[in-house]
Amino acid sequence: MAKPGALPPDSRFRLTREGGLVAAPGLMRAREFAWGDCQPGRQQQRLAELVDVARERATARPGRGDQRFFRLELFAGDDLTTPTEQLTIDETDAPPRLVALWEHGIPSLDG
Amino acid sequence: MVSTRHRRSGIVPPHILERLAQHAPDDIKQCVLETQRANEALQRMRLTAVTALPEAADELRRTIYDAGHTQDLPGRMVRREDEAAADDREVNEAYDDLGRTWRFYKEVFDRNSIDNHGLALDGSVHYGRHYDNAFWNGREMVFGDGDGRIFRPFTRSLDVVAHELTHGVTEATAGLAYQDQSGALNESVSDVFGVMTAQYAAGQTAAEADWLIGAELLTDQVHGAALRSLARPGTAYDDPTLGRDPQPATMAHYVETRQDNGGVHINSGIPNHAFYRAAMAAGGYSWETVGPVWYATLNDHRLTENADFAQFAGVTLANAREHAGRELADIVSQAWSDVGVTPAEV
Repeated sequence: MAKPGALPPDSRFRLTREGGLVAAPGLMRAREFAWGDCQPGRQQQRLAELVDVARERATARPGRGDQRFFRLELFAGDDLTTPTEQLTIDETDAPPRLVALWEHGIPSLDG
Repeated sequence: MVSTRHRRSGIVPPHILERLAQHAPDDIKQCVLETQRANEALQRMRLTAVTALPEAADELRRTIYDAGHTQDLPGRMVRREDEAAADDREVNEAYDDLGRTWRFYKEVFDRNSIDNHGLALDGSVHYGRHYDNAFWNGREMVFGDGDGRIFRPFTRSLDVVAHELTHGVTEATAGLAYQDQSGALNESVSDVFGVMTAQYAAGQTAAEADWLIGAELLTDQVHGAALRSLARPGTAYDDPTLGRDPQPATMAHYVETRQDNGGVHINSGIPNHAFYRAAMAAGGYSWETVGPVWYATLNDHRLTENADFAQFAGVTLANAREHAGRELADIVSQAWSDVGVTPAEV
């Protein structure tokens, strides 16, 4: 069971969708946000749960044969150069809430 | 070839039957001899049956499915081999272009489908909603309809259909790992055989071809000609939504990145351009000149799963020397030199 406190309060995140036949830079649409950008309570709870699901479904070799995949990078503090953890999840295994987060951002955590 | 040398005909091993036939009491010996005769007759029948088995089906076997705008595969079967055209453009495009690609491999390289053993070709269309992609999932080819604003349905381009099928061929041959340079080679091989399939279907020489991948996919609203250009990597599009084509043409502009499995769709521009330069220098039809060299490379045991550009180049050069003669070998060597790759000794 995920808990809101499972992630350090200074955590930052970058979520991209990569791969695919096209793999154009404009289609990755990196979404960056901080733990503090999410409202305490439901949004942080769902984000923590989502990270746990992403960890369960992550694969080390995503994307073969032009399949798309999501990359969720976790950073500590303001250093966005070296992630403390990165998770790659095949699009076919991605939880809908992760797809929604990439498409619509933090408000999707309320849905 | 199926070996029958050690095949056991019955539950009692032959060497035990042999021993019983020599040393057991007479009534047992009789039973054993009858068993041996029965086994031998059975063995003859099996050998006949094995001999009579047809070779792997040397015929085209396509099945197209409609995913119904879901992401559930394969979807509803809508057209099988030899069935009449469906009332669905994407179904018929997938059916026709899988057929063209199969014929290209068969007629040019005598390859019997993806696995060279007659594997049936399955394809699913109408995958997902506004889905901007096509892929090979290890079992079938899958095509989205595009969003209609940037992309048209991904069945529009023969070279894209051939690109996806070729991912299956690469898995069945060299097995190039989908990461970094071996991944870029995996992608390049799909592009190279994709454009060759289109050129073969159109009867185009290297000089006549556009050397583009996915030219038919982009809508008129996109500032661009295609997804990729083998002739001029990095120039296929420059669009507010797509961004700028990031492909390099030479090693001087090789892109180091974590993204896209180490830039497998980016750095593929380099081996793509080497193939283009070799084909143009050779003249004539690409599938008759450097195409066979690339195909032999894909099937060459000297090419490893984690090959880098230098190893791949080395194996192409070796194959050109061994099978195509010095003139073509010099052309291949020059093409790799032009893109900044030094072929490794293999």
